[in-house]
Amino acid sequence: MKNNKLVGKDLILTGALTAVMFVIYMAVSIVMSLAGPVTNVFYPAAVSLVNGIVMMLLLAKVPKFGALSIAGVIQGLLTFLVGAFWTVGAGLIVGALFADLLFIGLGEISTKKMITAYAVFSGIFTFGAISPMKIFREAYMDLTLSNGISQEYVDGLIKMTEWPMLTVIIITGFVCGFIGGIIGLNVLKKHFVKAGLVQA
Amino acid sequence: MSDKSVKDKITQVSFHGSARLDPRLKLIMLITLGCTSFFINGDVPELLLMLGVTVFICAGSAPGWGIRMLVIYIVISYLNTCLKYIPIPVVSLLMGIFGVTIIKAIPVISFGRWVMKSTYMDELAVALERAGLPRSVIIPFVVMFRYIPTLGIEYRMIRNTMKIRGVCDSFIKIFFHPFSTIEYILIPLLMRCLKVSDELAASGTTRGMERSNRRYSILEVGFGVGEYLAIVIMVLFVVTLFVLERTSIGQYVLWRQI
Repeated sequence: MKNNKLVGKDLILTGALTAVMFVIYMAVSIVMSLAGPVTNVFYPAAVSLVNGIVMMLLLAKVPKFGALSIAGVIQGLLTFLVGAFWTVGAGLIVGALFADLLFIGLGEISTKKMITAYAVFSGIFTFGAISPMKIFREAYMDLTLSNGISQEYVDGLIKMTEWPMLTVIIITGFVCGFIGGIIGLNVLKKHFVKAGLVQA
Repeated sequence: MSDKSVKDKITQVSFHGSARLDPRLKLIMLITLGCTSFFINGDVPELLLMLGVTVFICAGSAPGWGIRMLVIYIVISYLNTCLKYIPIPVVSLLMGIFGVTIIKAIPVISFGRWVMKSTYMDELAVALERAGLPRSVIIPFVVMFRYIPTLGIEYRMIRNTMKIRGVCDSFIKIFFHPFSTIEYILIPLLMRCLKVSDELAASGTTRGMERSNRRYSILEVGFGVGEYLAIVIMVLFVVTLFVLERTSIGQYVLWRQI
């Protein structure tokens, strides 16, 4: 009989893997925002690509409703703490709850559902992270300028988030989530199933 | 050897001063600090904020850490200001962002690490439960706090092993094979993470984490005089910083305009 509530063991694993995901998120976003405005707008996609492995491991070990939600909500709250714009955290929380309810909440879990849920989650996260540069443009740029960041960087950001480019960025978010999920599943099969840590 | 009673030995803690505040209050202060650091934009108010944080940390039995972070902050702030007035073409752009991000992050990082080091995990669990959070939120939260230092240790061990085997040890190798680097670091880290969390789960179940009864704690956890005093001081401090930065009286005090 399968138990569908989250047990203490699952919660501990969720907490530990969320810590790994958050550290990866911080490292990748700092590296990518240093290299210039061109790579800065693609940082959510890169984060989703690398975090795909960790998230697939989490969903394979805890195939229950609630794992993705808790991971996303905790990461969202932590981004509020670190000082990003409020839509980043909101995008993470909304995306995690949405993907969890829509895909993992109903019925049996399967690899296709895991990948779709993660792709949707990373797409909504990309939207939350990058769209304020277009939608709340004045507020965001004022905040960035008054933080002391130079005008050329801000101009570069404005140029990168014009309309056609913005849809490209969001679609890249979805696609990178998808690729991250597939890479994650391959890595799981290649290393973890062989080591016996995860059941196929 | 002095004759200590058993109760004294059990309730003996190794932190003093402001580290003995309620963990919920420390978390609230961390969040307030994050928001304040995000919104405050002058250099003098930021320096005052950092000084306030350092005073608080030094009062909480971690003086070395507080002074060290203050010195790092002053050095980076000085370099930042130099960079603003002496434009160097390429370096300005890169280091500008880096410097600003670090300056904003240093108070939050130093306060956060101090909170993590100076709170006992069972006190934190009891305080969060009293705040009414459900078990499925408390356990991941506490595990995360406890796990991040362990992550650092595991990462260093994995890097050492990689150096011994000659895999991805020099900068050139890392630069030309980024994906291999990620794979060689991340997969062992995740395997260690699985083992550690299995052991944690076993130890937690042995200690009764699964039971849905109310938790108790020998050390006092609650809001007392010290906590209310700290709240008052914090509110006054934040209001002063905002007044200094946003209103004209504040600008006058800081000699920016007459």
